[in-house]
Amino acid sequence: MSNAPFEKLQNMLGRKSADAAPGLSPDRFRQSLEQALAESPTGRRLLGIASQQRIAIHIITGKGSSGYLPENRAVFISVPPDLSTVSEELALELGAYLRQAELQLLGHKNPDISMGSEDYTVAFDAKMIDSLAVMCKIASELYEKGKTNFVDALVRMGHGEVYETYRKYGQGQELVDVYYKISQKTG
Amino acid sequence: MTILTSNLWHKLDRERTVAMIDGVRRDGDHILFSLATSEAKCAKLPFYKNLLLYRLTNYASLPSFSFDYLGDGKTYFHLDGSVTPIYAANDTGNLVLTAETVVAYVSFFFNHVSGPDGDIHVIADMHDHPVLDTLDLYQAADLSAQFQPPEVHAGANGGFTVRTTLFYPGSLVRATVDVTPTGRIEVGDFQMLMTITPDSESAKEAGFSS
Repeated sequence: MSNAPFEKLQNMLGRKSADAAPGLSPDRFRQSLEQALAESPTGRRLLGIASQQRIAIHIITGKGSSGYLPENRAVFISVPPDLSTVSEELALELGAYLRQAELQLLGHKNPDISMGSEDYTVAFDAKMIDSLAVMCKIASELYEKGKTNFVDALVRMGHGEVYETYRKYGQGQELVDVYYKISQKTG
Repeated sequence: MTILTSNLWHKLDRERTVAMIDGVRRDGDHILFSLATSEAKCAKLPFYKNLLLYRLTNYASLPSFSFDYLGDGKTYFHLDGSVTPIYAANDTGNLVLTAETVVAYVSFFFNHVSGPDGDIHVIADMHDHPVLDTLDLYQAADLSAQFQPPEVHAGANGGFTVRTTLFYPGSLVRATVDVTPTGRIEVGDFQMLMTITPDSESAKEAGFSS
């Protein structure tokens, strides 16, 4: 078959590898990410709170691990070196982590490993459901503006059923039910 | 065939965790891991002597925040999604590739290197990979009928050629992976097995597929 669908992989690891294209600088990457998120009213609100409350957003090199670290008052988004495009997935994740920062400021702290396992699980699940709901809200707002790619990104992230439930019922018991249903299936 | 079966994690004690947190931090880096909220563990890989896979996890983040490293307890190579740290670790002379370990090495490589379009996974056993959970029943049956385990051929230069099934974002392909004695990897000769649209039925029902 033609190797055309794999051209970029061929350029990276192929038998005639091309030199890697230079990636965006961390500052440019962060600006692009914030720009994508700010297209939604909820994303814009969260970015405003982060700015007012001096919650930093750092782009660091790494694979697959990002998050809000309360002790640093900062969101860390890790991206592989040479990444030159901002994905919808990362923009949605940034929204979720900024929401976690907002909750922390409001006194709803992240669970810590010194808690008992039951308390930890309850607090963990509540935060995760809230984060998923925020991502759904942002994707939904952007969908209404004709940007369907953020909903597609949620589906790629495995949250298609969560989004479907959010669209039908909002952030209620149904969303909690589907979260636990999926957690049991995958856990 | 051994695919990271010796990848059993061992939690580091407090003293070694402190040493590791200090060891991975470079001047100017953000402080991503602290003893109060983080845990360090290590695992032996079958294709390295004197190098272990290390994982630092900060549980203060939701979900938890992890970075992986290759190291000897003093020097650590942060696996940042590029080929550079793996190749640098290989150049310390600790890579031991054999016909028995090369598939595990290729699997490890793709687990820690980001592809240009997303993550790539080696499917060495079609009954044992999370990616396969995204297939519907018809796709799983189709793949089962044509699935072949990895084929390993030794090359004249001391390297290996592995013909294997790969999950590439949106598709399952058969591809040839050339591995040099120093662990450099090249991929080619793609054969499309099937395209995959995860959760596509849910997307259609919700009316949000583009």
